[in-house]
Parts: sequence; C-alpha cells; structure tokens
Amino acid sequence: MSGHKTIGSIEFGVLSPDMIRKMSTVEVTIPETYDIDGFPIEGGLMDPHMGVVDPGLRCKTCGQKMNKCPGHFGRIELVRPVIHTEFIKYVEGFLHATCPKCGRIILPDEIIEKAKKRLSPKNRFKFFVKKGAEITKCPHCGYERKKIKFEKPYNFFEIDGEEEKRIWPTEIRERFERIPDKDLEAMGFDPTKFRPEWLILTVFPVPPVTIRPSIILETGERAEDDLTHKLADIVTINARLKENIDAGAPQLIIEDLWDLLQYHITTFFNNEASGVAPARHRSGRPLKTLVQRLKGKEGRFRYNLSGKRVNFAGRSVISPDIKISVGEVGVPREMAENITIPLHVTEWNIDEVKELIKRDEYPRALYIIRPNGTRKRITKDNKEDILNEIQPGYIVERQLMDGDIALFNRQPSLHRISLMAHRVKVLPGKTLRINPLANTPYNADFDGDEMNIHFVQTKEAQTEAREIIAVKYNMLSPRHGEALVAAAEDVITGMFLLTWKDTKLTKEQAARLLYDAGIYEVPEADKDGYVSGRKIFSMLLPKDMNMEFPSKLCDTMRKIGLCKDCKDCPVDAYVVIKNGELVSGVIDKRAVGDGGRIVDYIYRVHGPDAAETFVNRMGIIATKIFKILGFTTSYEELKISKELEKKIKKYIEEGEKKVNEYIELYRKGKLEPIPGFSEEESLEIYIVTALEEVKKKVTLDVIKEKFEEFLKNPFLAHGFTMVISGARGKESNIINMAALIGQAYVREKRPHRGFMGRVTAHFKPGDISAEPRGFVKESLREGLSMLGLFFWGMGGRIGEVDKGVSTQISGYYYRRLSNALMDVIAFPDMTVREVTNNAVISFMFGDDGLFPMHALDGELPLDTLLSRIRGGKHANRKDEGTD
Amino acid sequence: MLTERMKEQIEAFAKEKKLSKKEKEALLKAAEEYYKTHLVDPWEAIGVVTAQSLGEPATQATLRTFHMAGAAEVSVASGMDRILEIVDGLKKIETPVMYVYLNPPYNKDEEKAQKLARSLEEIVISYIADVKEDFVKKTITIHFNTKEISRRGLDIREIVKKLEAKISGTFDSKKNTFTIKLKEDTPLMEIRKLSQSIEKLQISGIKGIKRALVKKEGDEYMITTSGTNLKAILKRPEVDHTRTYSNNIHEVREVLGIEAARYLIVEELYKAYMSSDLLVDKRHLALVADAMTARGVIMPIGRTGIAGKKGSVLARAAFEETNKHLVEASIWNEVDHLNGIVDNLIVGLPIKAGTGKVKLKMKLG
Repeated sequence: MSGHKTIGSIEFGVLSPDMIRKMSTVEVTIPETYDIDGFPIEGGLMDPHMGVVDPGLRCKTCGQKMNKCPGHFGRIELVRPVIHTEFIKYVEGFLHATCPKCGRIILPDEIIEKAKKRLSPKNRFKFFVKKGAEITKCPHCGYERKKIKFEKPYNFFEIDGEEEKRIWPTEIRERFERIPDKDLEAMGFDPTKFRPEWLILTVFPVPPVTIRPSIILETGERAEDDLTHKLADIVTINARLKENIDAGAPQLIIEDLWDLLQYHITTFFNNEASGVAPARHRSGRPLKTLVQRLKGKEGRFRYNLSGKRVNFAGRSVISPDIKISVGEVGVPREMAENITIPLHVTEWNIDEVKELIKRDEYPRALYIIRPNGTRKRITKDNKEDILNEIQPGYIVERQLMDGDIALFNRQPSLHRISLMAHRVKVLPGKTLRINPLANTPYNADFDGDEMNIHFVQTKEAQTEAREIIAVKYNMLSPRHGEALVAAAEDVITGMFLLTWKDTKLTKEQAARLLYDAGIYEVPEADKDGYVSGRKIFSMLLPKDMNMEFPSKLCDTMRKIGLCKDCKDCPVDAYVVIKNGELVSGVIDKRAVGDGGRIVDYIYRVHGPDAAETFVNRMGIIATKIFKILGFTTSYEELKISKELEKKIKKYIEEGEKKVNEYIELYRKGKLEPIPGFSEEESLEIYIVTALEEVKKKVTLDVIKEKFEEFLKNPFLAHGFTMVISGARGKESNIINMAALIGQAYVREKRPHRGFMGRVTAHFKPGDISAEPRGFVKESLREGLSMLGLFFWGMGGRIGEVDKGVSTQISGYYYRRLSNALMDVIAFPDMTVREVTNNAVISFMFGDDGLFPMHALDGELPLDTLLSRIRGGKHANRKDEGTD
Repeated sequence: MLTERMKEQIEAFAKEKKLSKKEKEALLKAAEEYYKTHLVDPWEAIGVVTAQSLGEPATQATLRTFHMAGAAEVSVASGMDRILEIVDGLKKIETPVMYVYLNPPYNKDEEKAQKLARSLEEIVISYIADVKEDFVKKTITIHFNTKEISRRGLDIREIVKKLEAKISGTFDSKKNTFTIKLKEDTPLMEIRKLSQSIEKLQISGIKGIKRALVKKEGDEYMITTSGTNLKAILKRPEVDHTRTYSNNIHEVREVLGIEAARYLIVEELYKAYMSSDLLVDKRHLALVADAMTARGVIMPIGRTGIAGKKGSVLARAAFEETNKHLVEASIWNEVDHLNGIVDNLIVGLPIKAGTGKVKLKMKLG
C-alpha cells in the first residue's frame, strides 16, 4: 500500500468567511431540491456541485460517481449577519471584555500585562470578561460605555438608563472587527487563526449532499433529510429578507425576518438549544440537526466512531459441552461453512492448499485472491484453471476448520475476560458450544444466553489471540488474581462426592472414569478390592504437589462445634496433599471452585497448560461420577424432627416475649437507652437484635441436625451436600425452606409503612411487636401464612426494584471510570502515565509494580521459592505442562 | 529491584527458617527473578484493567450491603453509595466518621474514655433547651430540659455561664429558664434571627461531632464519632494523633496533605468493596487514587474531573457534553495529536498501547 496516508493530528478551528467562500463550490439560492424529472436543480439545495447521492449521476466538481465523490461544501450569502449561537457565550464575553469604540480590552495596560504573565490563555479570557464587565469607562480612549445585557437565547441589549436598546449582529460584528490583534493575543487567542467577528456569520456554509442524502420511500416519493429541510428554511427566509430590504419595507418587518433567519440558523446547528423552541417536522417530530447527530449514546461519536461493526463474526445461542476443552469453542457446521480464513500460499504449503481447492465438500477453499488483489470464487468449473494458476504469493480463503482461533464474547463485556480466544471445534447442531467450566469469566448460563464469535483473520492477530487472549492465559482474574476458570455447581458437588472419605469404586468403574478423562492408568486398589475416590482424584494432580489447607467443610464443622482436633475429624475434612496424593480432606469449593486453592496452585506452579488439562479432566470426571453414585434431592430432606420443631416454636415464643418486654419497658420509660441513641432508636435496636437472635439459634440447631443426618448417610442428603460443598445454595435457603423465614426487611428496616401506625389492617395501630412488623414465623415447607407471604414478598419486591436501579447507577459509574482511566498506560520504565496529557500518574503501579493477575496479593511465595532452590522439581510458570 | 518491604519480608523469613547465607542469597535471587516476571507488562493498558476491576464487581453485585438495623454502632455508609461518594470526590459525605485512638491512660480506662467521649460531642442549645420568642414583650426565653442535661452529664450552671458570656440575660434557677430582654424597638426579624442563632450556640464539645461512642478494640478503648473535625481533635492531648482516622477525604487533604488523602481513598474504597465481599486488589484502588490526586487536589472521576480534562478533544467529545467540547476546541484552536485510545479508535488507527504500540510485522509468503 504505497502512497497510503495516515492521520497525524486533527486541528480544530473556526471558519473565516473567506475560507467558507473558498471552500464553497456553489452558491445556493433556490430552496428547491429536484425538478420534475427528478434531477437536482442547479443552485438548489441538492446542486450536483456539492456531490451526488443518486446512482448514475456525476459530481460537477470532481466528476466522480456516487460513493466515490466525498462531497463538497456550498454556501448561502446571508443578507444580514447572524450570530453563531453555539458560540454565544464567547460573543457575550467579547462584548463585555472590550471597548465598543476603540476595540481594546477594557482594562488598563498594567492589568493586561500582569494577567498575561500570570494566567493561562483560557483563564485570561475568563478573567478579562469578568473584570471587564464591571467597567464602564474605557481606560484607553475614555469612551463611556453602556451596560450590556444578554437575553437568552441570542439577543443583546445596551442599557441606557431606563431604555434598552437592541444591539444587532451588524453592530456586534463591527465592534469585534475593531479588536486589535495584540489584544486578541493577550486574551489567549491566535489572531492568525481566529477572529471574533467570525462568530457572526455573513456567509453560511452548506454541507455536502453526501451527509444529508434524500431517501426514496416505498411509495416512490422522495423524503429529504432533516438538514436539507432546515437549509430550505434558511434559503427561503434569506431570500424573503432580501426582497423586503430591496423593496424598502418598514424596519419592523425587516427585523422580524432577521430574527427568523437567526432562529433557523440556530436550530440548524442545535435543535435543543435552551430557550429556543425546537424546529419540528410536519408530523410534529423535532428535527435532528447537527448537534443531535453527534450527541449521546446514539450519536455519531458513541454509536459509529467508538463502536465499529466488523465482518467475520457470528452469534448464536450457547449450550454446554463438558467434553470439549475450556480452551475450545464448538462452532456449528453451518457457521464454519460460511466463514473463511485466509491462507497465504507459500512453497511449503502449496500442496495442502491445492488439496483444499480440489475438494468439493466441507473443508474446502472458497476463494482465491491474486497478488494484484482480484478475487475469484472457486467453482467446480474453474477449479482446474485455478490449480494451474496458483503459486506462492496467492491468498486462498478456505472454510473454517478445527484448530482455527476465534474470539468468543458475551455481553455485557464488563471485564477483559468477557472476551477470550478459543480454539475452534466444528460440531453438528446450531448452537455455539462452550465448556461450562469457562462460564464464570463470561458470567454465562444456558437459559437462552447468546454469545458472539469473531474469527481472527490476519496472522498477527491470530498469534496474539493464541499467545495472549487464549483462555489458558486468562484463567486468573486480573482483578484479584484468583482462578476464575474453575469448577462450579455440579462439578463441585461431583468432586465432593468423589473425595468423600467413604467413596469407593470398583476397579472397572475407576478405569472407565479415568479413561474418559484421558488418563490411561488405574490406581492400585485397596485391600478390599475397591479404589477410593481420593485415589482417583489424586490421578489428576501433578506428582510433586504438596499442600494443605482447611476445606469449606472445616468451616461448617467449626461453626456447629464439631471441629476439635484435625486428627480425629469425623469427616476427615482437612485437606492434605502429599506428593500429588490426596491423603485426607474433601475437595469442595475452597479447593477447586472459583478462587480455588488447587486450581490456583497448578496454574502458578505448573503453568497454564497443566491447569487447563486439570480443569478439563475435573469436569469430565465430575459429571461421570453422578452416573455411578446418583444424585437427587427431595421434599423429605427438608423435614425436621418433632423435637426440633418444638424447640423452634420455643425459640420464637421466647423471642416474642422478649420483644414485648422491651416494649413494656419503653412504655414505662424505663428502657435503658444505648449510648448515643434516642429511646425509640434503642427500642428498635433491641427488638431487631432479639429477633435476629431467634433466627441465629434456629439456624444453628437446624444445621446441626441436618449435618448429623448427613453424616449418617451422606449419599442421601444431596440438597444439603450442595450447600456444604459450596456448589449451590446457602444455609439460609435450607433454613427458609425447612425451619423459619424470620424477619422481613424493607430498606434495612422492619416494614412499617402502609396504614397509619400499622402495615396492614390486621393489626392494632401502634403495635410494634414482632408479628405486626414483619416477623414471619413459618417455613416454606409448612407453608406461609397469608401475612407471612405478604411481608416476605415486600422484601423480595424491594430487592427487585433495587436491582433495576442499581444496575443503571453502577453502569454509569463504570462508564465514567473507564473513560477517566482508559488513557492510563504502564510504561516500560514502570511509570504509569496518562497519554493524552502526557502526565505521570504514578511512578510505580501500586507502589511495587506487580500485576494483580500474576501476583496473588502481592506476596512473594517464599516457601515455593525455597523448595525450588532446595531441589524441588517445580516447573517454571508458562514453560511446562504436566504431561 | 525488590521493594524495601519485600526485602524485610525475606530477611524475616530467612531468620525464621534459619537459612544459611548461601541459601539466603539464592532465595533473594529467586525472589528477584520472581518479582521481575510478575510485573505489569510494558504498554499494558493498566487504566482499563483497573476500571474494569472496579466497574465489573459494581455491576454484578447489588452492592447494597445488608445493614442490620440492629447494630448499636456509628453507622458508616457502605456499598455503591459510598463508592460513588469517594470517586466523585464529594465534599459533603453522608456519614462522616472518625476513629479516635487515645493515649494512655484514657485507652485503658473505660470511664475516662466515656467521659472524654461525652466531652467531644458537640452540644448546642437546641439539644438541651427550647428557645421561645415573645414578640410582644420583646423577650427570648430559653427553657432548659434538666433531664436531657443530666443525661448528657452537663452542669446547668456551666451552661448559663457560657450563655452569659455571649448574651446578657437573667437566669431563673427555679423554673430553669434564661430570659433575654431586648430593646422595645427591636424589629421582629432581629428577634427571630437572634433566637435562631441562640439555638445553634455551642455549649461544649467539638464542632461537627454529633455523636461519640466508646468501643473496645483489642485491649484498648477508642472512640468512634459520627461527624468529623480532624483538625480540632488532633489538638486534644488525650488523643493519639498517629492513629486517629477520619473518613472525610477532603478534610484529610486539608489537615494532613494529598498523600494522606491518596492513602485514605485506597482504604475507603477497599472497605466499601469488602463490605460487599468483593475483592479488588489494592494496586487497582491505588491507581484510581493516584489518578484522582495526581494534580495535588482531589479530582473526581467524571466529566468535571479526570474524564473532562483529557488532553484529547475527541476523547472528551466521545464521553459527555459533545458539543461543548467541540465548540471550545475550535475557538481555542486545539489540536488533537492522537496520543490516546479513543482518538485513535475514532480515526481508525491502531491504538498506542499493548501490542498496538509494538512495531512488528510478519512477512507473508
């Protein structure tokens, strides 16, 4: 691409009348567009000198056809000057800051000089306007000037005692012409590039027709663009004004028309200017003029310039496939057949390319591109010719194949791992397939989610995708460095069941399980002839792995007071891995979920490839394990013992009694207030604490009982297994279903609004005890009372409303953040700089320069480093995999 | 080069594990190697990574911390509301709070701490008395609420003394009233103004401190206050000024300087995110704080702050107030040199960050 020019910089400025005339190719005088034959009228709004929008016609300026001709400006010679209202603040500023007679800045020279030294250009102008506005007598020529009043939207008046005299644009322009260049410089402007009188238009630039093409409706009618409509108004009024002046019409009529011209020009630029009635289309719809085209979310900047559309992209519903790697994406055959990837023909691959050209079915070449750029479709008939013609230097576009690289994305793209590179795997079906273990970074599920896919074309981009954007290099979150591509939901449950202390499989089952995961060895069986689940899990671990940590189960045990000593733990919860062998402990969310310790370890010590393999195998094994052990849950699981039921009743009664006692004390004025709170506030605090206490006690007892049940037969309490393994659901879900809903909250307070002094008509006014203020005594299993459901629903509704509000708020917060920080870049010298201002923001990112994704918490892994020094065989990050 | 903190860490680790000199040196070398390989990559668009790291958790969680109505503590705003407060650099925050640590013996003695806490609370007349004007007799009468006065541990005579120092009037110890007689020709407006200023008259404590609670933290007592006045509290001899903390960023900047404010932004953002269980690495928060404080004053994130002061016209126009920025750019004859990200995106050039900054081309065929 020789002679290829790139933009170096963009200069903004104000057009001078001379420039507008120079740019102009034609003067527009007729407010018409097309003649009866459908050809553009010369001197009209669609004059062919300004470009063409009709196929077949040629531009009269550059001689090119539609789509080639870039368009050219025209002009309207205004009979009377008009203010450019987008600059009205500056026009007002110049009027205030300068003397009407001599044009100098209306301040003594010393002050001007001082300001020149002390203030930046923009601040100087502001300063002169502010100071100048107060001064009435010009210190340079001694002229006594009158006070100037600006009246929105675009009128200026001179106040002379009681009288207000309008200053017309002609007068303003004359005053501005008198401002000397040196004073303009003092005000911070460059007089060679800007003169204030240019803000008063004497000639109006007519934009090229290419930016305001007319469209032909189905009815065959022509519909003009909003800008063309506006231009027609300007031309009409301008002509009418001229007629009236020439005919010597009364001043009043001329002034009215002048104002009208000003109105049309104002709305041409901005149809939402404050104080100006928006110009409307015949249908009553406000016109979209220049500012409206650029502004806002659907404006040119955000819609077209910052968000560009691309080719080689696809979109479909996603569905899960545990058998493909997390680094792969399943692409529907139909999509693969229609997408091409360019192959650069070299002497080394010419044979393979020829093979692709010969083929008639799916993986075949579709086009060739000759070195001169001409493109040809490969068909059955021209295949032979092409095979003879092709040589190194040609480009062949073949259909998408397994192993190609694609960018996969789910919106909203909230972080960079919402878009990662996957290897293509062409599959039957019409959905895009993804390994569910890679869901977390995309925040995807399969309830109808759709995702976008981009097939990377150039070699540079493909390499970048493979080496930087690939899933395996993005398994850790750049936000905090924890693993995101990890087990979730049923995979966690599966791992939990597999590594439970009593899980045993026959040798055959073990072999099948491991075979599916791509491991072709079976661990030795125990004495009883079975293979323990932990041994199977150990097969996934690298052989030199050593670590120990408390599992999530340990936390639960501690909470219910069953954790005493790790040595005689009834459930063997504490995870110990020695030389790649899971000696004890159960694998749950803490180990393999997001932020999981084991995934993290494998990634950091054994590298991305090892981590990818580990995660893939885990997914396969977890889903298979259910086929052996079975997994379900039932209503029965939610039942609690009669004794516990009684106990819960008692807790509730006690709680209510306590609440009533507090209320009684308060009524007598004997309630001890909490320091710093009023008596009412204290009472509320006491009540809420008492009721929360009830829920706490119930929670503990129920969890205890459920846990005991679980211990008795861990392979039947599946709902509870999901909770304690961290797969899905929380303790509170179990409690709400099995035992007690508890206090409902609305905006962090007990419900209190509704009727006067009460929430519903079922209670006495002023009764603030437990039940009337939303304490729900039932559980979901036994069924809620009418009022219980109502109160519970109040909380739910608030949650739903808040969700809608808060996504808007946080969305805007995010937009502001990214706009503020997007130009902040890490430099090779470790400084962090804002590149548009070339300003150093920080001399060292985060004070130590570590990247949060690479370095978890910024702590040096001294233990690991030491064992590496002492001869441990830890592989270097990135370089080596397990197998 | 390892940071000082890391060197200390290694030193301590070596001591703990009783490493030989040779091993220690090897460890230092290994740590340095590790450090070098875990740094931010050159030309990384770290600002975007930071923005995403803060923005993504904000959208996914409701960020409305389930505040128990029960807690008998000084309430602190948290979640999205607090984050926006910090990032917008608001001068007036919803819950200004101070954590006042005490010097011995106050930090070991609960009674002394309580007494100090009471003395910090700002008390104005309207808290402890009703002020009534009589427009006919031209008098203002202050009816003291003795119950409230004793609850706050105040002495009525002290209060009267303080009042008398400001305004002349007569105190009736039986009725517990203080009456101010005004001149017959005082206009009604004056009376109302005077009575209002009396209501706001400070009796004791520190201005701005609405509530002070004593809390036990570890083995010492400290005071949390709602309402801040760092300058005044640091002057108190009982206060340990090295640890005392205010969550008002602007106040901290005025009293302790911009670096302290930067640190506070990091801490407060961290707290706000952690209150919703959202882990964000402090390095990201530090970058936000750095960006906000780089010019020596606290700049908000939005269009009035950092995003509105970009060096690139196109970047500003693409954010907010499009026409304003284009008009300003043209009158001041601004030039966009296309150094930023969106400006290059808009004109269709590769961005100058990441791999776009590196000049490398592959020869094909």
